[in-house]
Order: sequence, then C-alpha cells, then structure tokens
Amino acid sequence: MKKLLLFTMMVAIFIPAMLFAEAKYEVIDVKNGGSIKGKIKASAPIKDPVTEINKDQNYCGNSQASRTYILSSDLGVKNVLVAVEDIEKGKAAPKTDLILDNKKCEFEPLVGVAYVGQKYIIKNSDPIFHNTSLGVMLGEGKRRTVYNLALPNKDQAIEKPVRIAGMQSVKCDAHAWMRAYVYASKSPYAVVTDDKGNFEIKDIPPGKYKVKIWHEGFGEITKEVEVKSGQAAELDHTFSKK
Amino acid sequence: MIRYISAIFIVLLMLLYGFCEDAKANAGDNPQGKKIYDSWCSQCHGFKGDGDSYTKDLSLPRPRDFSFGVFKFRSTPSGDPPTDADMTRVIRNGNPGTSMPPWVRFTDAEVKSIVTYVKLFAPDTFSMEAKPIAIGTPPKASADIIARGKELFKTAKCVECHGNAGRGNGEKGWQEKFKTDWGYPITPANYTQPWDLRNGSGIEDIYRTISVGIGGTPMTSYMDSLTDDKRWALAHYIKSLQLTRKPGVAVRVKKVEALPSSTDDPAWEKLEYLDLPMGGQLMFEPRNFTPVITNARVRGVYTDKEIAVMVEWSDKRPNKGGDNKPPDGVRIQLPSNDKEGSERPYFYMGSRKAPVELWQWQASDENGAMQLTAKGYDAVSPVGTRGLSAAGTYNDGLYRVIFKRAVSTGNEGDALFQAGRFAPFSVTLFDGQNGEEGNKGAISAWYFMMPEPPTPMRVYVFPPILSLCTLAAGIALHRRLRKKR
Repeated sequence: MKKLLLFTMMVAIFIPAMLFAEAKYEVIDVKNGGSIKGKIKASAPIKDPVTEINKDQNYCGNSQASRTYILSSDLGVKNVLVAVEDIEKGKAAPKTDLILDNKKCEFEPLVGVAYVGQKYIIKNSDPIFHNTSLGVMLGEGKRRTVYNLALPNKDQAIEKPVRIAGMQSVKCDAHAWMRAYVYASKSPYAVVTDDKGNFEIKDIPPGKYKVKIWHEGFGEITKEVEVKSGQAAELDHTFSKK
Repeated sequence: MIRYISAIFIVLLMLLYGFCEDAKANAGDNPQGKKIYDSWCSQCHGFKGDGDSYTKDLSLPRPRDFSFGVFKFRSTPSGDPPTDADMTRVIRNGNPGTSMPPWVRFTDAEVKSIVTYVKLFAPDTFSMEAKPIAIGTPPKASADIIARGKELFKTAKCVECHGNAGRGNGEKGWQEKFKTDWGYPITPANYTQPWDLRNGSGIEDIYRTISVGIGGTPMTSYMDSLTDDKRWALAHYIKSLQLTRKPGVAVRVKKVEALPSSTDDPAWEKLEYLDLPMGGQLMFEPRNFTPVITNARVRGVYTDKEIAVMVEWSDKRPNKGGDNKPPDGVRIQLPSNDKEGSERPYFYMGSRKAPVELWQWQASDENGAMQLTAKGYDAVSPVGTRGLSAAGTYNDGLYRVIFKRAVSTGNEGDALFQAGRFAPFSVTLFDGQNGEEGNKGAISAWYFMMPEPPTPMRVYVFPPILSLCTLAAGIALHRRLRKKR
C-alpha cells in the first residue's frame, strides 16, 4: 500500500515536470544530411544609432556605436541569429564554450551561440566593475535571470555551465547601455550571420523544420524550410524597418 | 425539482471550473499544501501562484509570483533554485518591511506541505538541484576586519549602488534600467536600517547575500570573484553600518548654553535621540499603501530663549521638486492650545475642536520654514513662518532638518514648551521620488518631547551637607566609644 502511494506521488510529481520540461534532443549520426544557407538583408540602408554613455566616462568615453545595424555594402545584416528550432534529432553540439567578454564597456560578442552542456566563460577585460546578468527573455520587459555574476576586477573570468536553452539577454546592471544576446542551443544548428549577412547550417537530417531568424533591431520571423539529403536549402530574408 | 437539478448543475460547473483552474497545481497530490495555500497564501500570491491578486497594487514590494520561477532569497549559487530550508525560512520568519508576515500558526509538517505545493508552480526551476553554499563560522569582528571590508566596499564597487554610507543612494542604482526580472523598478538596499533588510541582517545573512546575490535583481553574486575571507570582511563592514534603533515614547530635550550651529555640528551626536517607526497614511485619500521611509530619528536641545529640534531620515534619492515629482519634506505636528491636562488632538491633523500646528520644511527651499494649522486632514492652511526657522541638508542619503523657534512665542495657542513638561509631537515625512505630498506621506504616532528641567541647586547642596553630617556623627560616636573604654 505504501509503495503504491509512493508510486502515485512520484507519478504525480513527474507528470507536471515532464509537461514543462523542454523538448528532448537526441544525438544521432548524420550521414545523409543537407544544409540551409542564405543571406539576411535589409530592405534599405539604416543608420546605426549612437549610444550615449552616462557612467564611467573616463574609461568608457562619452558615446559608442550601438552595433545594432551593421550592414555590408550590399545590405547584408551582421549579427542575425538563425536557428533551427524544432529539431529533435541530429549531430551532437560542438564542445565549444562561449566566451562573453566585457570589453571597452560593451559585450563581445553582441550575439552569440552557446551550447547546452558546455560552459559560459564570462570575462572582464576592463579595469572597471562590471556585472554580467544573463536571463531568458520572456517579453513585456520580463526576463528570468539565469546567472548574475560580479566581475569587479580586470581579467577576471568566471565559468558557468550552460543549462537553460533558449534566447537570453545579457546585461550589466552597472552600465545600463551594455547588452548582448545569447542563444543557448541543444543542437549545433544555430548560427550568427557574418559581416555580409551570410550564414550556413550544415549536416541537418532531411526533413521539414521551422527556422527562427532573429535580429535585435528588426525583430523575429520564423520560416519553414525543407532540407533534402545532400542539398543546400536556400533561406534568404529581407528585413524592413517598421 | 428544478431547484435540485440546478443545484447539481452549479456544483458540477464549479467542480469543472475548479479543475480547469487548478489543473496545473493540483497535480501534486498534496491536498494539505493546496488547502493551506488556497486559504492562507492565495489572497496575495494568487490561486495560480502568479502573484495576481487583489492586494498586488497595495503592497510594495508586490507579492512574489511563484510561477515566474525566480526566487530572491536563496542560499544557493546564482542560477539555482532555493532550498526547501530557504523557503521555510521566509514562511516562518516573514519578510521584514513587506506584507509577508511570519507564519507561526502552522506545524512544521504544514509548512513542508506549503513548500512542496509552492514548488509545483515553477516545475522547471525546481527540476534543478538546490545545494546551499557552505557558510561556515564567521570570523570575529574587529577594527582590522572592518577596515579591510571598508576598502573592499570601494574596490568591489558595492559603493556604486549602495552609496558611500551604505544608504542605498549610489548613482548607479538610479539608472533607468535598474529593474527586477519582473520589470519593476528596484532600489539598492539601505544597510543602515537593518529592520528593512529582506534577506536578513545578521552577519551570516549579509555574507550569504554578498555570496549568491538576490535572485532576479541587480544584486549580483560575488562568490566567484571575491575569496571567502574578503566576503566575510565586507559582511563585517556592512554590519558595522547598521543603526541601533532606539524606540520609546519620549525624548529628553537637553538644556545647553548655545544651540548647535548646523546640521553637522558634532554636538548633535551627543544628544539623546528617539527613533519613530513610520508608516503610510491610510485613513484618508490619497492613501499611502507603499511608503518607503520607515524611520525618523528625533532629538532636541534648548536654551533659555530658543528650542531646536532635528529630524533625521534616510532617503535614497533627493527630490527638490523638479521632474514632475514633489519635493521631499518633513512636518512636525504639535497640538495647538495645549494646556496642562488637555487631551491630545486626533493623531493625524487634529480636528475642528482640537487643531494642531505643523512645522514644515521642504527640500525645494533648504533654508525656509512654514507653519500651517490643521483642523483635520481636509482643513490645512498655511499661516506664515510665525517665528519658526528651518535649515536642512542632504548628505550621502541622509536628510537632517533643524527647526528652531523661541521657547515661548507669546502667541496665544502656539505649541507649548516648558521645562519638565511632556510636549506631544508627531512627524510626517515625504519622499518626492515616491510621489508623496499632502496627505500621502509616512506618518508617526504621537510621541513626547520633554525639555529637561535644569538641575536644581539642592542637588549640589544637600548631598554634601548630608555626607558631612554623617562623617561628623561617625567621628563623635567613635570618640565616645573610645572614652568609655
């Protein structure tokens, strides 16, 4: 009887846990995979706003480029995250850590990909205090803090495991203008566009996928893509500023 | 018959509704936890644990939204869920300065069932293991360790948010984006007021807060960046900044040769003081459900001619009356027409029958004073300075305002000060940043000021005479005894 009660309780506890647990990712050997490649562009040239600096100007200066809109001569957009969202099986994620540096009063990189199971290496290259706060973006100005770490000294580095998947914002409460974005992925199928707005995601098992295209200033769009064995699916998108 | 059927129908409908509403939380098979939660906790934290309740706009800070999955008060590293012990601590001790009371009515088993139930609101957060950090034994406090902590307070940049004197007035705490995960603005803690420290004010509590931070707020974790002994030194320094609150009913106003010249005159420090707990004005519109000033420290001094009263309070951000915010300010309330044996007026703004006078100072005019008379909360009118002067300063998060007046004004009905007599007074404080003005302020109950009677001459005369007499009698007795032998 007691065992039965215990069992019911366990089931009762695990059912909600399972309901809320994120989709599982299964690592398989991908031999006949295809790829997704493309270019993310802007519909018209757009000026990168200047960030006014109002604290620690001695070191940080009075202003800095916001780096929101970094466009190539043919309007390719840098720092766009492209991620295959609903993928359940595929290659193992690379064993690389994400270095997130507080450098010259901005985060480097602005948009990065981290892999669940690996590490964040959070660094401070500045001789001033920074704190790095990572949080899952929930919309409506809300976020759920994942880590909030103090880095009072120059060249300090803190390593923390990447445990929670999804889009996260990074901020420094000491310097309101500082921000970055990290996409924590369970699969290797998430990339950030290069200087020309190009990207390529390789070795994807054939199938239909939803691909998230996200940019800090332009916003987000999800597109459906069919990946065929040994072929490169084209995925281009042109953002226009509302 | 129809009544029967409709009753059954309604019951079924209610059951169905209840099932849908609570399906998520019900799954825990924890009927006791749910029962207690629904009857004792849901009024503030919401039936779904999301903090959506009718009290949410009347409490500051707002009730915790458990479904959000972020918990402020943990003993676990940044990013980890709180332990059961952390949650039990908040339930048992309550949260000082918030609407969360200490719950002593429940048995340990009942508290455990509440904790288990609350955890179900955020299953993904609690799917991670909660392992508390090691706290160990705190090193002994010493001048040396406090000095080291003081240095670290600057180098670890605590000062940037918490301010030079730890009153939570640092400039970085006032950036526009200084918010919690929930999107609400937040201010850095004022260390000097231990009764306001939500995460505890003991040395271990401070150490724990520095180590793991406060979840969902800008208070960051120093565990990976400062060694253990440095965090203890910081904790000791922060602990050393705490005020000792001195509650009571009356403060002695000392008689002196000359009044202190300014708010920073060291003479003030030597005087007896009284701490007045402050609360929001809740009787009349606009009510102040969310006061931020919790303490007023009052002391006074007088000469043959003049009396000076100083009110001191913490304010994290000064407001002089710009930026669409009212100025900070203070009012001392005293009964008008006060006579020996007369009853004190109604404690807030008096009444038509028993009016009060108000000494007012506002940060918009640092050296200006104003007197008002009040015959009730809705009948307040200025009457000029009437011989009252005031001077106020704001330094490192601390307001100090001195009111000065003739001991005896000669005006009929003015507040009365006489040596040896208890003069009733109360204080109202306004924080402009919090939109406080008029009836929306932080108020105190009635207290008393007692101008100390000068030491009477007989104190200096009679005791020496008495000792001399005793001595003489002793000697006489001694001689007589010797003679007899």
